[in-house]
Amino acid sequence: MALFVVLLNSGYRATAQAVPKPSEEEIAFYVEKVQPIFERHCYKCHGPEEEAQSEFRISSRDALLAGGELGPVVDFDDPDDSQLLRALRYEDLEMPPAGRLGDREIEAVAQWVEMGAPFPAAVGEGGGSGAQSYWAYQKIERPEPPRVDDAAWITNPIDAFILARLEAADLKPASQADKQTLVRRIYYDLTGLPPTPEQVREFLVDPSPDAYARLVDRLLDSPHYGERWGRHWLDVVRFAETNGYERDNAKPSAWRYRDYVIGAFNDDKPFDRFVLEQLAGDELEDAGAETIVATGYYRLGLWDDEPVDADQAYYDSLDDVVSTTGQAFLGMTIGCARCHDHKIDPLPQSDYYSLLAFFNNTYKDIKQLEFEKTAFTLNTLVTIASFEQLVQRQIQERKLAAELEQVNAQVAEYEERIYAALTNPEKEDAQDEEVRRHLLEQRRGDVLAADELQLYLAALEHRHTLEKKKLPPLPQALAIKENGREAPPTHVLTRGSVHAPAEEVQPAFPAVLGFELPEIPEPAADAKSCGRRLELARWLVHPDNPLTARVLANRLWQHHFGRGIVRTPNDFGKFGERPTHPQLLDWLAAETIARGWRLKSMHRLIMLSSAYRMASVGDQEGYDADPRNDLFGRFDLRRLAAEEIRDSVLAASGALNLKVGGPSVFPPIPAEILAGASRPEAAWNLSAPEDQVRRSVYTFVKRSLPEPVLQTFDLADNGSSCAVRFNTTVPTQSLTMLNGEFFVREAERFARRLEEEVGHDPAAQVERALWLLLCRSATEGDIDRGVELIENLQREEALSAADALKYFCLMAFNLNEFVYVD
Amino acid sequence: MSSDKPRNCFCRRTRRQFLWEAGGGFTSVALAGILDGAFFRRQTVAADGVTPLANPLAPKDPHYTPKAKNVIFLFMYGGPSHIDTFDYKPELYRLDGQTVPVKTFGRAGKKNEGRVVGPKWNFKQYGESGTWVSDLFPHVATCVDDIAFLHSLYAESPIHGSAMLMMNSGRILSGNPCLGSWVNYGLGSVNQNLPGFVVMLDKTGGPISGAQNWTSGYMPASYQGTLLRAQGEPILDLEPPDGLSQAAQRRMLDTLGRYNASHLNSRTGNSDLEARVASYELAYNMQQHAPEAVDLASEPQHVRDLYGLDNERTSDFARKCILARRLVERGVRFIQVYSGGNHNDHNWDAHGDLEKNHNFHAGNTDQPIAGLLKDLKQRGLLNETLVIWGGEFGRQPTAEYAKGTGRDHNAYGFTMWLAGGGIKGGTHVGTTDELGSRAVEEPLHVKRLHATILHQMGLDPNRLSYFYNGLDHKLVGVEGAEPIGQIL
Repeated sequence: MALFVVLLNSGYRATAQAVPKPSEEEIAFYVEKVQPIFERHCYKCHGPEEEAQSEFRISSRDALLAGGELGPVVDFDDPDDSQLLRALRYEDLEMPPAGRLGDREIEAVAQWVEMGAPFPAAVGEGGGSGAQSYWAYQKIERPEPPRVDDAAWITNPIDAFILARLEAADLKPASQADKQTLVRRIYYDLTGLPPTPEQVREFLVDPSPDAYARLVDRLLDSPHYGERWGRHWLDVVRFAETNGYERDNAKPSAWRYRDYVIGAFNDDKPFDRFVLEQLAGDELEDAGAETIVATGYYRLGLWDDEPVDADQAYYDSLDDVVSTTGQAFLGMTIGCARCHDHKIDPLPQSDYYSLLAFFNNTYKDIKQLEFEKTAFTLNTLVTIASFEQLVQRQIQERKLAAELEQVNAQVAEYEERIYAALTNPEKEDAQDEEVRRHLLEQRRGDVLAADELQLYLAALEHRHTLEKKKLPPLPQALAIKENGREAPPTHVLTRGSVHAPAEEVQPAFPAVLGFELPEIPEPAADAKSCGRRLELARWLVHPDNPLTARVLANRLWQHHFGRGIVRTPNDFGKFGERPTHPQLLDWLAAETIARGWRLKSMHRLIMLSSAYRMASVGDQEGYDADPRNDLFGRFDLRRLAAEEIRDSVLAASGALNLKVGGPSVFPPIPAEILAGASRPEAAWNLSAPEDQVRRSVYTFVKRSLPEPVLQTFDLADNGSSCAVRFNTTVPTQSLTMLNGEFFVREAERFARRLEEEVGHDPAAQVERALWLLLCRSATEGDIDRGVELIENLQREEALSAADALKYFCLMAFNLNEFVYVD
Repeated sequence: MSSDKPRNCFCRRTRRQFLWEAGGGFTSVALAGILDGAFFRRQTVAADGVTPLANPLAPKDPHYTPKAKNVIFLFMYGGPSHIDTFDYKPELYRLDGQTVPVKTFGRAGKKNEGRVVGPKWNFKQYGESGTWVSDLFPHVATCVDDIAFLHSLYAESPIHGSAMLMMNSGRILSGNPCLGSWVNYGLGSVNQNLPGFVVMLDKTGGPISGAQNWTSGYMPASYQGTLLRAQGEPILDLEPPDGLSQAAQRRMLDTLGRYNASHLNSRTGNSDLEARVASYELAYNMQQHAPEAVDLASEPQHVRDLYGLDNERTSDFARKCILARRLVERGVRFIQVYSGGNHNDHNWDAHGDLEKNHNFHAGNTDQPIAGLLKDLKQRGLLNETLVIWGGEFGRQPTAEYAKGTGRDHNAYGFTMWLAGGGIKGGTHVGTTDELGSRAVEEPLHVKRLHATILHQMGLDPNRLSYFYNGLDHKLVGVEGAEPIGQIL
């Protein structure tokens, strides 16, 4: 940390007036102790906003010196005599008028004036140079791994960064975890699924030194890797398959975006390409079905089809994209600058609208619905058929047309003869096909011979079939569609209101990062889009961009270790947490770029480190000195994610269907939950049995009706980008796991599986059950406890053997050891 | 009106103290962003990730001495017509059938004139306050001296989905925590055996947007509303599976405890694991206590009569109102009861036949509501229980279609009322114009209602905040809102 402070301060250039530069501690003092007092008691009249009531505004050190009508409010020569303090003490002016502050509050302000009234650097007041030196905005330089005493612990440079900090704190890393622990850890980490007993054994008996590395590689090659790691990304991009709001209409084909993400991870698509495809897949030279699907990124958010103010709603939709993009790729909460300059990060309001300008051609494709005057639909489906599919389609269409022509000729031939044989009134009646058939039946052999009649009727049937035959729809994707090659002008909106446009802005990157204005090539005459998004995407993955690689490296670390090096992965700004290991973060970011943005290579690197292989139990000294595990002195035990819990239960019961990809599925949900929907009967379209037991990542994500088991275990909120899921422990979770339909149903299935696999001996059943759930062999004590329960349930509670086993299984789903991974 | 401003822009001004991502466990989440230093220090459990769990719903001190301990929000979903219920507009009878210039905005869009539909019920004056109430609510009319009427509310949207969200969560955009979540976040729950935020739906289904109306949004799920059913199993997953006795389940839990203890043994001091062990005992206690709370068998006949429990029309809502009282007695902080569900005439959304619709819904609820107020008062509970009545908006004075009495939505002006919980009864705030088309005197944004509710609960609406995504969010938004002083 000491090193870090130096780094920060060294870049701070004093302004012309030689204002003493405030230290981190002084700033912290202001922000934590003083600013809250001002906010609560003073801001109403003296707030930093321009519309504050009083001329005197508490906005900067300069503003205090300038003061209001009565002149400067602070006196640095005689701080105690500052007018500010006299007013607070009710010595001349009496401020705040509502009542004198407490002595301790006044004392805090006095102390702060004594320090020289340090303010955090704010936008546009000479703090800019300080802002530019903020750690996250520095170019990524690869730091040298530090020297350590215990060189034997170092497997790769990651370990040097970790160990150096531990050694500096006089702490020792936890011992390396045993193979039994590791196998469960890495299966869950990379696939979100438990290893089978066979997979565990195979690893345990493999004596070769590279057994672990080979297993990591094998898991990275598993199609289930993408299902787990793709889900992390789906959280960040607020993935959902409905629009939210009153109708909560489905977003058609949104599942293709989900499959695209899973596929991108499985294919080890370089992350820079992944960014380009999502932001500008339609503008790429090699645009194709896959890159079009990727632009579904823009369409995942909440979208109001019946807005009160359609113009404002247009900007709400763009805000969803600007805010998500800022957080997902840049770790910037730029959404905060929509109405005014960012309160603490150096992001003026114009930055927000300059970023918005990249997207300001993308949400015009809304169409007013005819049936209600206030409702809209987003006309955003794009056909993504390949050339081959289109050719195939044409062939099929022609074939169908030819067949129809042939049968029409057949029918016409018969009918000519039929009509020739009918009387005039009969002719009229025979216009109706039903009547005609009837007539021909009656006069069989008279108009048409019996066999001819059969042939005629068959031809008619054939024609009906052909007419009804529809070719399967061509694949479509929820994707971006721009309004042509020219983007409309973008204005700063005063206080964020569409009804108060201010100056026009051009597409530009956040100014504090110091990049040139983007040069957007003139779009071709027949271009369908203005080409701006592609420039933005290219900038995001430019090696000089200081944020994208850091943010990515941090997310990788976060999901391997349970928390990011920056604990606020979506906010690398000043409201966020500082990195606990800034040098490690930079090293990882540099390494990610150097390895061609290929994540699998990074996973391998991280997972082979000694740091990753530490046990979750450390020594007492480590706990005492570092209770939050800031230094990564041990591996943090973690609760399984919602999807992992559900999938693991299905895996144990043997029901899990591991099919990959395709349209989303609807597993059964309790009637009581459906009753909460405004149209319970139409709310949930239950899938076929084999689809009810698919992996949770394939469950339909309905904003107004989240799948209840998943929601109970802290599914990501999809209203906006979610970087870190909650991890709550509440009694309702216990109720769900003890009594809920899903768990009881699977316990029954699990019990049947055990009986099939090991027969009726309770000890064998318990042993097998614990193997399947905990990925280890049971101890004698484990088995005794389980057998005792099964026997008691039969003997004392008069349950059948089958039911007793079922409730043992249900109990076992609730084990801490099952729900947590070491 | 603030529709001029973007609706999801609530920028923080203060550095948060703790952060979810900081890994402090959810004890710190429960506390993050409550800005008052002294309050904060008192509540803080070390956010170090090792201090044993404090339940996020553990009782917390309010900002100042509360007037009310509990809230019962009777939500008249669909939007009852204020001018046919509690906002007396004598002029409208005369104008019936005439086309007049009046600006309206409903689901049929914006209009500048319309055919007046005169009120379909007569109004009479009641109580010492002389309050005008229509014949739709003869029972509630007998309670007017305990009620404060807000006649000049306005909301930002005249569309059900977003207006529901506005009334429940303060924003017309979805994803934000609801009123009940805020109250429980601010105060915790005094009864750990029951949820702190309970929602009872109409038997025809939930309101539009479903669970968004009782979501905890960006707060942890511990603060979301729990659906309580008036009959059958009251809370989802509360009862052991069929065929499993409580005793048998107790055996399961004891065995589970032994396994977990052995697991914890080598991981001593891990608060997450300990918390999970504790959560099973809490769950077991809930199973013991919740069924008793919803069992009406012990209610005497005079109480059943008071609410109209044995009358077919009123039985359903009466049951919910009695349950609400029983939950209040057991310390549940926030109870929301819906009148109306599903779509169209299953709720107060009277686009077609106004008389049929309102006669039906008012007839189902009038006596139970009055019964609730009287029962609470008799038991001395009314002064600490804030009862709120109203829908997501009101209705227009003019007809929606060329023929008929149906009224479209009206968010420009409508009436809600409050009773108990330190509210001054027999009072009226604000007015709408002579047609009842919009608030004219003392217009009250819905946020003022929210501010009043929080204030009566002992929470400063402008201080109660929650840090999320770089911002300090408040129920009343960044501009803040003051309680409605005239009724306090």
